[in-house]
Amino acid sequence: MQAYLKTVTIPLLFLFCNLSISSQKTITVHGIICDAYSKEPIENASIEDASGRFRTQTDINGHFSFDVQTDSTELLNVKHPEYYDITKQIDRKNRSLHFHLKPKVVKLHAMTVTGQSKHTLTETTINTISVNRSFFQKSNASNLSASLAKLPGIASMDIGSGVSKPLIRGMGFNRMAVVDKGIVIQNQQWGADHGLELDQFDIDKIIIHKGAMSLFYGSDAMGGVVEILPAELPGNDQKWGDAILTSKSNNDLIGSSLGFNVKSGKWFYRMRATTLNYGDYRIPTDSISYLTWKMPVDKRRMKNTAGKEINLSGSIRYDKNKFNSAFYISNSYSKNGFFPGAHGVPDLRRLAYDGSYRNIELPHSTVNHFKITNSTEFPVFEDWKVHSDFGFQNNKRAEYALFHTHFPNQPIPKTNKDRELAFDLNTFSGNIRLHSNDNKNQSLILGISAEYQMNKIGGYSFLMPEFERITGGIFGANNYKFNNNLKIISGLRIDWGKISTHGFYDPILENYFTESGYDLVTANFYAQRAKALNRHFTSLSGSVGVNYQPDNVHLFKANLGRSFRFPTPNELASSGVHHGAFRFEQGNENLKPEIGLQLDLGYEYNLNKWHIKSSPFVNYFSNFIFLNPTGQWSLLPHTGQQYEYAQSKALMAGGEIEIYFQALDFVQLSSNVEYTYTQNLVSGYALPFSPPTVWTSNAIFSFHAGKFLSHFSVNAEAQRIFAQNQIANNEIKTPGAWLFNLNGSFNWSIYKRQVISELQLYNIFDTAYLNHLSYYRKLNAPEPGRNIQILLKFPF
Amino acid sequence: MKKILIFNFSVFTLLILFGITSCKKDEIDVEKPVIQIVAPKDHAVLKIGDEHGVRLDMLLTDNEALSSYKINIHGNFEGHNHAPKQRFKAPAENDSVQFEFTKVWTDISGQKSATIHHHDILIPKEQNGKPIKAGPYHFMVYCLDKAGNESYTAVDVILSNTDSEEHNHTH
Repeated sequence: MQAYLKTVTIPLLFLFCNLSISSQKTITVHGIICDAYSKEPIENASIEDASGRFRTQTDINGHFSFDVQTDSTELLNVKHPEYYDITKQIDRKNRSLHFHLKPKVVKLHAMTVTGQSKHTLTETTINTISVNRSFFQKSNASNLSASLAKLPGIASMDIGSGVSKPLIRGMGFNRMAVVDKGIVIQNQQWGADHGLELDQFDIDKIIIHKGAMSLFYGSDAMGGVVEILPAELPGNDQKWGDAILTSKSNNDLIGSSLGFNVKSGKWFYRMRATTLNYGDYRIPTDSISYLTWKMPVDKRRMKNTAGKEINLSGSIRYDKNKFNSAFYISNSYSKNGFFPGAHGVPDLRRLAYDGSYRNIELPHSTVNHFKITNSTEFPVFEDWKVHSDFGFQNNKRAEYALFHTHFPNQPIPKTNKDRELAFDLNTFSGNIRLHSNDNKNQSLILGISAEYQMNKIGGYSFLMPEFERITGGIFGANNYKFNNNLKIISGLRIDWGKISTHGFYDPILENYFTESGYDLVTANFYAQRAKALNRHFTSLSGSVGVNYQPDNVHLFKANLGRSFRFPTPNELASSGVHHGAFRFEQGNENLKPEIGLQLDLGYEYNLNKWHIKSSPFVNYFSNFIFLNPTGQWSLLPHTGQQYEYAQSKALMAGGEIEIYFQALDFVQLSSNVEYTYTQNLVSGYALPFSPPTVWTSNAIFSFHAGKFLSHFSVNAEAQRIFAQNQIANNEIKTPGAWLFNLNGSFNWSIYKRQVISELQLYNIFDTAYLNHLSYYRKLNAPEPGRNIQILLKFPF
Repeated sequence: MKKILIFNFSVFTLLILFGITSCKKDEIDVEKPVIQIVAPKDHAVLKIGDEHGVRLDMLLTDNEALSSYKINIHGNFEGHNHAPKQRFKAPAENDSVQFEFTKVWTDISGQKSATIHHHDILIPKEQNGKPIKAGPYHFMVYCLDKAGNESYTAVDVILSNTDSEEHNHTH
C-alpha cells in the first residue's frame, strides 16, 4: 500500500510543480555571442546564472535561447575557455541579447589558439597551430593543403591549380603524417605529384603539430602531424546543415558542397557531398621559355590542367554515459590533367588549343581514396579510459599518357593501353591507447599500434615495386604537472617494421640493350627494375619536453625528440626513369632508418592587445635519405645521369616569428615570418625541396553592421616570398616576389536566415611569379595569375 | 626574473640561428654547365647512311670544371603523348626500325670550356638488319660538370633518305 502511494504521489507532485511554474508567465530570452575583435559568432560558449547553474550553450552560429520569468532580472555569466568571462543582467525590456567576449589571446581570425581539444591524442610541448571550419571558408584555396600553406611554417608543393601536398618546416613526402580521426592517411605520399585527397569543406578543426611526433605516431611523423579532429558533439538535440556554392575566375571553377547533421539522443549523424569542377588555369604570360624552346601559352591558359573532384563522407556516432563509438566513411575521387609540356621533351604541336578549356585529355591522373574507420572510447578500471582507432583505406592512383615506346620493341598493351602507371594500395591500421585520468598531477598514456600495407602495380611503365609492409609500435608517455605553471611531458617508443618488395624484371628492356649491342651484364642491370627484398627495421624514439607558464603573459616551451622514418619501398628497391624528372633513380637496399634528433623551442608573449610568438627549431639527422647524383651516365634513352639513394648527416633549422596586434577593437594587424635552413652536412648542399622564406602581413578590419548585414570583415594581405638560392644540386634557384591579396567576409541575415558570403581576390596585380616547390617550376611556368573567388554558404 | 628568462631565451635562439648560418660550406657548386649547339640546327635534316657522319658543333662551358657529355638520338614519331588526331603521319614502312643512338664522351673532363667539333655520330642505312625509319627525331645533348650538375637540351631533327640537306630546306 505504501509503495502504491509512493508511485502515485511522486508523479502527482511533479505534475503539481510543473503547473505551479507554468502558471507564472515565462518569456524566451535569446541572443548571440560574438568575438569582440573578429565579430565572429562563438560556438559552445556557456551561459550560467549567478548561482552557477548551467542554462544553455551557444550553437554553431553563436545563438542561444532559454526561458525566464517575465519579471526576472537575474545576472548571467557567459563563459568560454578561450575568452574572458563576462557578467550581464537580463534587461526587463530587451529580450534579445548581444554579448561581445574579448579573447584571452589575440589571434589570427579563424585560428583558435589553444592547441588542445578533448579529442586530440595528447598534450604536447611542441608548437601547434589550430584552425577551424571558417578558416577554410575564408581562404578557399585550391585544396586543403594549399589552404594550410597560409599558416606560418607550412608550405605546399603544388601542381597547377588542383593538387597540392603539404610540407611542415621543409619536411614533406614521408617525413610528415596526416592523421584523420586517429588514423594515419596512407596514399602515395612518396610521390612528388600526390595530393592529400581530403575535402576541405568537411574539416571541423585541424591541429598542426610542428615538430617531432614519432613518439605518438611512429614512422614518418618526424616533421610533424596534421591532425584532423572529429566534430564536437553538440549538447542539445538538433538538426542543421549547410549548402556551399563557390566559383573561381582563374580556372573557371564551379564547386558545391552540401552537409547535413543530426544529433538525436545518443546518436549523431553527419554527411557531406562536395564536387569541384575546373578548367585550365590562367597564367600571366604568353610564353614559357624552357631549355631552347619558347612554348606558346594559348590565351594564357595552361593547356590540359583542368580537373574535377567528388568527395563523399558520412559518420555515425553513438554516445552512452562514458562510452562512445563512431564510424567514419569517406570516398574522394579526383581526375587531374597534366600540362603536356611537362611530360617528356616538349613538343610545340602538343601545346596548341584543342577546342576546350574544360576537357581532361592525356596525360592525366586519377585518384580514388576510400576510407572506413572507427574510433571508440570507454572507461576501464577506476579512472582509466581506453581509446581505439581501427581503419581500412584503399588508394587507387593511375597515370595516363598516350602509349609510346621508349623502346622500339615494346608491344602495345591489349587493355588500358594508355595507362602508364597504376598503384593500388590497401592499408589496415589499428591503435589502442590507455589513458589515465587527466585531472591528477600525473597522467599516463600507454599505446600500441600496428599497420599492414599491400601495394599492387599496373601500367605499361614501371616506377615503384609491389610490396607488403607491416609495422608495429608500443609507446608510453607521461605528463607530469609540478604545479599549475610547469609541466613535463616525456615518453618512449619502440617500433618494428618489415618491408618485402617484389622483384620486377623487364624483358623488354633486356631485349632493348642486347639488340643495341650491349653485353648481358649491362642488359640485366637495367632490366632488373626492382629487387625482391626483405628488410627488417627497429627503431627507438622518444621525447622530453617542458611547458612553463609563469603567468598569463609568458609561455615557454622546449621539446627534445628523437624521431625516425623507415625507408620507403621506392627508396629501397626501385630503379628506372622517374617520369617527369627525366632521371634514372636507383634504389639502395642497404638504407637504414632515418633518425632525427629534434629540438623545438617556443615562446609566447600575451599582454593587452599584443600576442607575439617565436618558435625556433633545430633538427639533426644522422641518416637523412636523399637522391645523390652519381656523375655516371645512364644508358637508358631519355635520361641523364644516374641518381642513387644515399644517406648523409643533415641539418634543418629555422623557425617562425608571429606578431599579432589588436590596434583597435575593429583593426587587427599581424605579421609573420617563416624561415627554414637546410644543409647536407657531408656535401654542403641544401636539401631538396627547401621552402623559401616567406613574410606575410595582414590588416583585418571587422565590423558589426545593421540588421541586414550582421557583420563583415576585410583582410588585406601582403606577402613577400624571398628568393630561394639555397638549392640542392640540379635544382633551380627561384627568384622572389611580392603578392597582394584581399579577402572580404560578409555575414548576412535575410528573413532571419543567415547567409555567409566570402569574396577573395588573390594575386591582385596578376604578378608572374615562380613557386620554388611547384611541379611546373622546372618549366619556368609561372603560378596562377589573378583570381577572383566567391563562396556562398547557406546554413539551415 | 622574467626578464632574465626572456633574455636568455632570445640569446639562445639567436645563437642557434647564427650557428647554423655560419657553418655553411662555401665550396658548393650549383651552377650548371652551359650547352650552346651550333650544328645540327633545329629542324636540320640528317641523311640516313651518310658516311661523313653527323656534323656536331657545340660549345660547352662551366664555372668550375666540365666532366662529360652524352648524346642520344631517338624517334619522335608518337610525339610523346600526342593527342591521336595530332599524331605525326610517319611513312608506312612496317619493316623499318627507329634509329637509336647513345654515346658518352669524357674527353672534356677538367676543362672550363670546350669547343666540340666532330663527325663521330654515324646514322647507318640499317640497324640489326632492318632499314632505319625516316622522320622526326630528337637529338639530345646532356652535359655534366665535376660537381654533378647536369644540363640538357634537345634539337628537333629529321632523318631522311634524300640526298642533300639543301634540297629538303627548299620546300
